[in-house]
Amino acid sequence: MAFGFRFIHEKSSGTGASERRVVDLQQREVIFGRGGASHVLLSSHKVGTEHAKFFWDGEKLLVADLASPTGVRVNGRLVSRAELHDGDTVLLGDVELTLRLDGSIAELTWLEAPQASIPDAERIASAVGKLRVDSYLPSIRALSIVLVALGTVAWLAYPLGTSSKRQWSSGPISSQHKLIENDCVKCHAEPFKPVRDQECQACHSMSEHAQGYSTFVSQHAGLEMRCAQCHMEHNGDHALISRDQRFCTSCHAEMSKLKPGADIEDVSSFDQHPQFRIEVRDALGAVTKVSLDDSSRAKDSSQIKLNHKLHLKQGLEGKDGPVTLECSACHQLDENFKQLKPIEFDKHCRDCHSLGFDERLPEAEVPHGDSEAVFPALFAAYSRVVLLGEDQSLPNPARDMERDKPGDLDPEPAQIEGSGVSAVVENAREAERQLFTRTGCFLCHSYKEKPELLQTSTNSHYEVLKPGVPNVWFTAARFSHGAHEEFTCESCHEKTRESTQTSELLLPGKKMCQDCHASGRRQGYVSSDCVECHSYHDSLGFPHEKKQDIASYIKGLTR
Amino acid sequence: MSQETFLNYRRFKWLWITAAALVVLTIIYAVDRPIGGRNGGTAVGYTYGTLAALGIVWLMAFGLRKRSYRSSLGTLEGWLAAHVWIGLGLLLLVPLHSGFSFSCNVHTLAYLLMVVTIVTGIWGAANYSTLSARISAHRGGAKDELVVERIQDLSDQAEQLCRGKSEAFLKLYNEFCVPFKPSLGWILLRSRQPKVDASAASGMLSGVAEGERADAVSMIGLLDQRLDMLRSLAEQARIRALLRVWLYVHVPVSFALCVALVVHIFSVFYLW
Repeated sequence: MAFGFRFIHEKSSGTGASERRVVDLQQREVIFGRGGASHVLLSSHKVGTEHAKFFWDGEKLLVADLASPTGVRVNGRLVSRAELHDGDTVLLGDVELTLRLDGSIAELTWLEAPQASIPDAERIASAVGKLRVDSYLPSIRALSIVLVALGTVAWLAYPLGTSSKRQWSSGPISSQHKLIENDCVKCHAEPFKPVRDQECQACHSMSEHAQGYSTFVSQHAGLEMRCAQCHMEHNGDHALISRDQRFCTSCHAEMSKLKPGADIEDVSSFDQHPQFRIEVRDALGAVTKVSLDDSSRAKDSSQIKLNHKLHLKQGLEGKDGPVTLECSACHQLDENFKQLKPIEFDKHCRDCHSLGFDERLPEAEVPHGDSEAVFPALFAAYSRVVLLGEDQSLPNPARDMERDKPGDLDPEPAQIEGSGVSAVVENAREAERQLFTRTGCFLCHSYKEKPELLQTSTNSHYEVLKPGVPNVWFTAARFSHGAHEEFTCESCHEKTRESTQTSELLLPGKKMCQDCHASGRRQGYVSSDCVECHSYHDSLGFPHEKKQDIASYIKGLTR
Repeated sequence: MSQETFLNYRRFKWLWITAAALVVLTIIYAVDRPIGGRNGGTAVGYTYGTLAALGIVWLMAFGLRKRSYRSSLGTLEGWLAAHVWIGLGLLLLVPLHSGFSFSCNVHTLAYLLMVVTIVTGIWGAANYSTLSARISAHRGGAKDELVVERIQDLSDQAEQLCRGKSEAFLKLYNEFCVPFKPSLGWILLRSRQPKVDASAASGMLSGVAEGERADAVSMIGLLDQRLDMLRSLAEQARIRALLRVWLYVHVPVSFALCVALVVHIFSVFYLW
């Protein structure tokens, strides 16, 4: 194998043109230097006259320093003699040679940069420059310009130019409005204008707060009240219906001044709440509000006779033996567990209170609920016996065993005498009189005899006065019996067991509520601001003509 | 008595002014109970927001004041003191403006950018107060150019001593003459700058032939001196970098903050 060397010198000028010199040497030993006996000449003042010797020692390639002024470095390390491998760099002064071993030929390449010899001052300046952090980074000004440009596009231009303005949202939207959270314009219809009521009303149909209220607002220039002022969106779920009582008390604390003569009491908080008032109807039907504290006027004017004391007595005579009634026997929660259901005769009274009218006709009863239906029912019953001869007087052993109950008829059995229509009318009129003035109806209801002018031979001559039992006493407030279910009725309706008269109001006053409820955040009390019991407005049925199809509504949303 | 700096300028005048203002503003914030809760849209919210926005504009104006050498608007040192303490005060003023509500939006982004600006500002101020006295050039020390030149000289002299020496001698040179190659990492990270380990050096020295030993000792002396200079050069470069590099975040982010602030104000009223 013939060992040898190839020296390649490429010199590029500043303009890009390059010069290439290739020297092939078929010998085992080559001296690199600036002159003298050098085989390869390197024109650099940092290279010694005879700087280094490259030679093949057997199959190994070695380099040796020939006492050069600047030494020989192999891969950066100063050496006097070293074995070389493919890819090594050998530095002779400032001449950097790259070695490629091609079999037995050692190819040494010198890529000479333009201005190979950099003046020392410049080299030092460059080294010093590399000590400055600025030399590694873009300029602060450039960074600033880039950030300003990116920010303007991403945060301003993009949201302005598209419908996606979510990044401008001032906070999380309430779960009720999540459906339209990407459709800012559904509420923010006009830029730079506060959200208007008409946008709310596109979906919500609400009653006005109070009669004449909008006129009142329009007359007070400073008093701007928009839906969005109380219903503050973008606060997550906790603020859409604000509980801040000042929304109300800012006016209601001085309603006597704002609306003198309107019979609206001043309220500044629940702690300062006036005694509750009920609506009382006078003889002419005019309604006035009466405080529960006004014991002479605050009475239950229902036309019904109810003795709570009697009904709550232990061991009452029931249909199937002795019973003890609890409140819930008559007062039951509605399906929503909020209000009490109205008392119904058929459900709550009939078991004990029969509407029979004649002991001789034990199965016959008059219907409940319509005075006008009483006489026709009586007439029909007696007709069947007297005119058609139906036997209504069959023995009734079960009935004979029963004890008297209030309203039961005279147990003395008697035969129905007489015949013909006149006997029917006579019996029916007598039964009617008994029912309305002594027995069945009379037991609970007040009655009125019709003036003679209005009495005909076929109509009822009496009528029951409308009971008018209010199902809800506090009409301006909202009380959930269901929410207080764990407490006994008598905790609040205290004197029920002693009450013998319907007129006795058994309603709890505000003191009772204030045992548990207080305004603000008093420790140990239920926080009770105005909306705990009162609504600002009610929801009206959504107008049919404004209703829309779900599929097309959803299609119009941005998702 | 210690020297007055931009931090304790006139006995912390601006710190006290800022702190007093914040105490007053916090009390007003605590006492104020606006209907609907505290937020940027209440009277206090708008007022604090306006104050904070004016504050940011004024803090940005420091960049201009710094460059106007003929300005008569107070001393630069006074401006810097106020810049630092008022800037810090914004960290609290802005949450007071927003009622401490933060969310994933451009408004909170503006606050975050402000926090980044202020935190890098704190870093910069801390660097200045702990490091600036350690720049040797400020105390009449040698300039970098001279140090680099001297390092080069020492390398050359050491190389001269290597002429015609044995492999053991060159090994000693290679061990202690570490190359000088500055980089961003070399500057910023406290990279370990080697020292001449006396025991290692004496061990290697015993391997050097008797005749070369005197030269070897003087070469180690040269290289030790060279390494000392490299270390000090690295340390000085690091100090200067730390006094500078925070600005690469502080300034561009403060401009981004200005954009976010404008967008914040614009969008709040756009989507009123």
